[in-house]
Amino acid sequence: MGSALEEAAPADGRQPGASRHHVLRIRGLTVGFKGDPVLTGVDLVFPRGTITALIGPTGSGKSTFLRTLNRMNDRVPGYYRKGEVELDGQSIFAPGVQLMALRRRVGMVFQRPNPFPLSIMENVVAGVRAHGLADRAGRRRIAEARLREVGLWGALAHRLNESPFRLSGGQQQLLCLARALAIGPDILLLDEPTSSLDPVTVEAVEDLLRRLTPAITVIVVTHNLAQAKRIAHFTAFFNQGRLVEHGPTARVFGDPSAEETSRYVTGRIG
Amino acid sequence: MARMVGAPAGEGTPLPALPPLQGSPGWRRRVANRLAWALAGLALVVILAPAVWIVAGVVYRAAPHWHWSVLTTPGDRPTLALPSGGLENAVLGTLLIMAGVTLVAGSIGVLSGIHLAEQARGRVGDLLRGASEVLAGIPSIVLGYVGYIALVVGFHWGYSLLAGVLVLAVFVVPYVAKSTEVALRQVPTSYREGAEALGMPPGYALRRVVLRTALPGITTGLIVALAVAAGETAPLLYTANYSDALPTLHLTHHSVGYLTDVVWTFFNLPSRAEVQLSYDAALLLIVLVMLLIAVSRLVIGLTQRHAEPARG
Repeated sequence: MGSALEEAAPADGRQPGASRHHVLRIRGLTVGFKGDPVLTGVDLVFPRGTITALIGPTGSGKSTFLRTLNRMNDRVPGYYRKGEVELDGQSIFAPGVQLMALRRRVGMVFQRPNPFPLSIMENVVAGVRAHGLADRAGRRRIAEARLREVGLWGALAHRLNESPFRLSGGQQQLLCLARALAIGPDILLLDEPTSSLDPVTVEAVEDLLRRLTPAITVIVVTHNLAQAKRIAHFTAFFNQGRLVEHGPTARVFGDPSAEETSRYVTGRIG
Repeated sequence: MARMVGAPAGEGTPLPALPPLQGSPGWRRRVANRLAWALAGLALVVILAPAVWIVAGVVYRAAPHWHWSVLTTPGDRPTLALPSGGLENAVLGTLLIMAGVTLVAGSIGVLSGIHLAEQARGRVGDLLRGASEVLAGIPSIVLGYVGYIALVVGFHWGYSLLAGVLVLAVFVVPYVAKSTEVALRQVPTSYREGAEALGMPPGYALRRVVLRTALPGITTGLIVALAVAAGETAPLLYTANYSDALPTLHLTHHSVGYLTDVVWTFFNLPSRAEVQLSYDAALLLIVLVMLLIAVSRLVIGLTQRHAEPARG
C-alpha cells in the first residue's frame, strides 16, 4: 500500500503537497498536554532515504515531536495538536487514517529495549503476525532475514525459543530493531536508541542505520552530538519547544545560523 | 537562606565530620535494627503458627480413622465402616459449586477487571470501583439472605446449585476484578508502547502481550477468591441448603451438599462417626485448597517461560 502511494505521487503535483523528495512534511505543528504547548509552530521536511538527527536539551520537545509522527501521543490524557503532519502528501490525522496502517509505515524504537515476554523468534515477528503478513514458514524466513540484518543471527540462531530477557541489553535493543524492521516500514523513528548501550553495540546500531538508508528514512532523537555528526545527513536543533535550526549536519555543527545552536553544539548550554 | 541539603561543609551550616570507615554503628541503631527484625519475625510467627497448628490438628484428628471410602460413599448410604455415610455427596457438591463459581465469577470478574484497568477512567471509573468495594464489604450472610429472597423464593428456583453458585460468585467477583485490575496496571508501559508502535490493534495487544504478562496476578487472585468461596458456609446455607444425596446436574430445585456444612453441622452432633466425618471434611477442604494453589503454580510456570525476571 505504501509503495503504491509513493508511485502515485510524482513530481507533476497530482497530489497536492506531495513530493518525491520529502517523505514527511510538518506544517505549523503545535502540541501540548493541557496547559501550555510543549512544542510550538514547527515546520520541517524529511527528505526520503536520509537520516535526520533531532538534538536539543532535555525538555526541548524533541521526543514529543517524534511521538507525534506515528501518533503515539493520541491516548495521552490532555493531548492537543494544531498543524499538520503529511506522509507522502496525506495528513496522518485525517479522519480515515488507520493507526495500524500508519504504524506499519512509520516504525518506532525506544530508548530502553522493550522486548515482549515471548520467545526471541515470536518477538521478531510479533508485528508481522499482528498484521497477518506471512504464514508460519514465511515468518521464520522474515525472522532469519531480520536477525541477520541486525547482526544477531550468528549469536541467536540456536536460541530462537529462549526468553529475550536472557540477552544482554545491547542484544535486546538490536532485537527490538529487528522487530521494528520486520514489518517493512518506510520510516523508522528512534528515541535515543543507543543511550543505554555499550560502545560496540552503539557502533553496530549506527552501521545498521547507515545501511538502512536510502531504502528507509531514519529520524533519530539523540543526546550524543558526536553520534549526530557521525550518522545524520540533516540535523534539527530544538530548544524550549521551538525548532531553532535545521539543515545539513555539517552546516548546523560547523556554521550554525542561530546563537542558541552555536552555544548548544559547542557544549555551552544543555 | 535555607540550608541546602548536601551542601559541602564550609558553605552555610557546617556538616559534622565524616565518620571513620571502620567501627561499629551506634548502640541506638543496633537496638533499633534488632527490634525491627524481631518484630518482623514475630509477625511471621503470628500468622504461620495458627496455620500450622490448624493443619496439624486436622490431620492429627482425621488421619487415625481415615477411610478412603469416604470419597466413594454418599451421605445417605451408611456402610459398616461409615455408619453415618461418607462424603462423596459433599465432595462432588463442593467441586460442582467451585466449577460454577470459576465459570461465573472468573469470567465476570476478569472482564470487569479488564474494563476497570483499560477503559474506566475519571468519574465513571471511580463510581465502578466504589461500587465494587461496597459489594466486597457486604457480609456473606447478607448476600446469602438476599439470594434466598431473590433466587430461591422470588424466582422459584428452590434450594439449588444455581442459586448457590450465583450468590458465591457475587461474593467473590470484587476480589477477582480488583486483582485483575491491579495485575494489568502493573504491566510495564513499555510493553504497551512497544505493541502500539508495531501497529497492534488494542484488543490484539491486550491478548497477545498484556494479559499474558498479567496472568500470574490474575490467576493468583482467582485462586484466592476460589479458596475464600470454598470456605464459605453462610451464603450456601440459604441457597443450596444441604443434601445427603449425590448432587445431580439439575440447576434448580435440588439441594446440594458441600464440605463446609459438614464441618459446621456434624461437629456438633453427638455421634462419634459424625464428628469424625467433620474432621475428614476439614482435611478434604484443606487438600482442595492446596490442589488449587498447585494447579495455579503450574499454569503460571507454563505460561511465563519467556517472562522478564522479577525485579527486586
